[in-house]
Amino acid sequence: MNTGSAILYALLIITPAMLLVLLNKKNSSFTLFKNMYLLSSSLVLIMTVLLFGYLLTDDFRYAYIYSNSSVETGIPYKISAFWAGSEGSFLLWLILIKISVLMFIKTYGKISDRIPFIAIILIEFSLLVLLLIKNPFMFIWDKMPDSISPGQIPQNGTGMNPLLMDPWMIMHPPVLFMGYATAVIPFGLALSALIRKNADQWIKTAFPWIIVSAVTLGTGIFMGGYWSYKVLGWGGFWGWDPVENSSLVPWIVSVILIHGIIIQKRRGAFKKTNLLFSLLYFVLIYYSTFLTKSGILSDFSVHSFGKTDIANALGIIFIFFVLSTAVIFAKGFKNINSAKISDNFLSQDNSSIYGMISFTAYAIIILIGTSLPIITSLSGNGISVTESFYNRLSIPLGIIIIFSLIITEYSIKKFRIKALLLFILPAIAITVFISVYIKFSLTDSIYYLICLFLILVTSSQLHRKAMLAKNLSHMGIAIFVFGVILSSSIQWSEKITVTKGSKSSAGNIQIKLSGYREGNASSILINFIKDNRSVSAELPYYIESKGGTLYREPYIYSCIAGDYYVIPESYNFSELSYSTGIIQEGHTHSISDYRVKFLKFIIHKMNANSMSLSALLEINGKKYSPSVSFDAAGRKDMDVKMAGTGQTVSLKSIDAKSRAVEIYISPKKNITLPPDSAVFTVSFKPLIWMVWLGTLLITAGLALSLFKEAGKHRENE
Amino acid sequence: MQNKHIPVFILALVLMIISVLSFSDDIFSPYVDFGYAKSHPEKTVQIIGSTDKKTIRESKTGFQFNITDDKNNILSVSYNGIKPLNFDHADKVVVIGKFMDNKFIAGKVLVKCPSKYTEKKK
Repeated sequence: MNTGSAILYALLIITPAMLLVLLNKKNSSFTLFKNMYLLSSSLVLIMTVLLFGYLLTDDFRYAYIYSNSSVETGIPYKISAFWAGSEGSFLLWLILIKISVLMFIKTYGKISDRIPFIAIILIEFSLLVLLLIKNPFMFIWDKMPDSISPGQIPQNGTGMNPLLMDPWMIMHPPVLFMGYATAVIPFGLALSALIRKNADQWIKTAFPWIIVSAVTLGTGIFMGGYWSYKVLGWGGFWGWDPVENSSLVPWIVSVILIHGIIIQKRRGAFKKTNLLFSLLYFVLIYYSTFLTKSGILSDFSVHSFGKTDIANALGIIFIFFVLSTAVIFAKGFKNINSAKISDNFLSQDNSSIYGMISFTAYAIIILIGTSLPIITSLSGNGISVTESFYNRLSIPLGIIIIFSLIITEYSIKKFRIKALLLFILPAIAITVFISVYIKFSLTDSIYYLICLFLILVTSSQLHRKAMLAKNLSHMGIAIFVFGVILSSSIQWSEKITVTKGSKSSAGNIQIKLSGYREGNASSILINFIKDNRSVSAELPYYIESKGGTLYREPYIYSCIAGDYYVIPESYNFSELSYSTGIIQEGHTHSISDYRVKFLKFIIHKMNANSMSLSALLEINGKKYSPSVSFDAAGRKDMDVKMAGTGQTVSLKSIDAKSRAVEIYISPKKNITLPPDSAVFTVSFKPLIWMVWLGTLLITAGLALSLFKEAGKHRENE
Repeated sequence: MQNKHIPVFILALVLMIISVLSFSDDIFSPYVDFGYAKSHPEKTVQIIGSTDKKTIRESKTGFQFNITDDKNNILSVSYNGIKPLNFDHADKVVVIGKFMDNKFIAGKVLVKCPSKYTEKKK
């Protein structure tokens, strides 16, 4: 056993002990609990430091380090390898819960309510159980007993998936998990409020934490979207994938909750709803973890995760949290009396409520869409929903939500007709301009009109300090939606082939292909030419060693008008296509001007850990058998010289299923080959920066409301 | 909360959602086999299959390829879009779309990557 695992076992004993201390009703036990909590937090901190230490020192005794890092991995990515796998993610979640709860204890030193802590300890215990199954400190020989003997330490790790090696991916998981971690505090406080039948006090303590959680979770989601746009190269930022959806749903719930609490503070209404949504917020976050880490949706998602060994544990823990919170809510909610809301259709509260209901409907739709494969696969074949399920339903709901935001503005400040005309006329003018000169679509026009109107109305109110947080985030939503609709509706896309040394046009730009640069991360070299200005760019394009898959990244040229998005589809190495060929058993293929016949495979199994494979070939009547061997150290190529030519034959790859091999014969000297070429898809996404600006404003508005809350707390003290 | 507008609003919202769902035919995609896809050309479905790399052909607007299932049935797929990352090295793909004119017209192609989370046996 190693230090990390020993600490984990210690925590698995201390945590239930803390629960016992909490259940003991003596007054002194709370001080004892605080001390124990401090101790357990220090232990989690030591685990965290250990894992970082092992990552930074390339300690490949640990399977987690071996699978997620390598000697060549740069320092920032060695750090982010911490959360590249499930094991580290659970530990990250745990340490962030510890930090949040310690801050919670410190800022609200006077509280002596045990119930929130009982809930938090149970959550921490569930994470420790998951860490026991997915232990980041497992030795590699325990994890892979078949291939690694005890004490044997690999020279190098397999490295990180290059898709994750992006600055945005360093920050995205910790920020997202900060949202996950802080959700435990409102969850615990809401449970306590239900059990103590007092639904008035808890929101004061919980509100700042709900906002922190909404800000961090939202920022995490937005970062993920931007990363997807910048790295994945499919041209979009949101694919309605289960992984994305499952964190979007809790975020929507947190935003609804913020509005619900504002109304509760102002009118004393919505008490039950707010309690319910606080509970749902955490339960949905746990559901998100269940969906993404259990592998249950592996057949329905582009994210690659196999069915994992923690699926059952995750499922049982999820059902436990759902049932226990449902029972506590069902018992407690009858005792809570909420105030009634006025019946004035156009009041500020009412328009907020319509917006909240629509937003809730949206969350339910996304939740159902994401869960449908699981629900339906219980009775036979799974059914999943397509992207148009979400897109079609988003159109009417989006209009209703933006409309409710407009009515909210109007109900706060009754604008005069003159002022309204000032906003509506430019909005109409721009909408008409887009519809007439660029593209007409009825739903798009409605969106342009209401979004522009809302942008103008909110920006005219930005001088009102008391309303700044609300106006900023509502303006952010309008800008975001406007950007989404415009950039997807008016974009163009074109596929072009470019030969090395020459140029091809796509729309109003040109791409010049300069060649291919071999290196640590090989890339295609291009020149992006717009308005006689040429920018040179490198587009990563190589087979990554870990998964053996093609890795490529788009090039993005941003200007005020929008983004030019260049995706390298394929690069044709003329030397390679001349000198390489795939041959099926018994067939003949022309490679480097030779007729090559593939006769059969020859397999030598040396021992349990190593084997070699050769392909028996016939070239010009002579027999050659290039081979590859595999052992613990990896793959080794054994090329064969062709007598009297100075050329070599190598076995590049083997496809056992279709019984085919890929053979390479080095070309003769002084031979002239046609130039290389490459295929690109070039698209233009107008005003896409509005999407990013919108998300920034939404986050800024939420963050501002947090400072306002914090300010109020200071005044009260 | 005794506001009488709210139940009306919720009812209207539910009706709207139901009507959107019932007027669209491309929102659900059940997992089916090749035979079902061929015999139900009007339905949006999703199919999983192994890609046959030798059959990948690219054209100006997209690309075509064949997929095979466990029983070695062959289905030719046409996709008008950007070739997904890792497509050339994928073992299996999921295609979502409809069967038309002896071809499966995919609206979306999902690549099942050799997962980085599964340990490779050496």
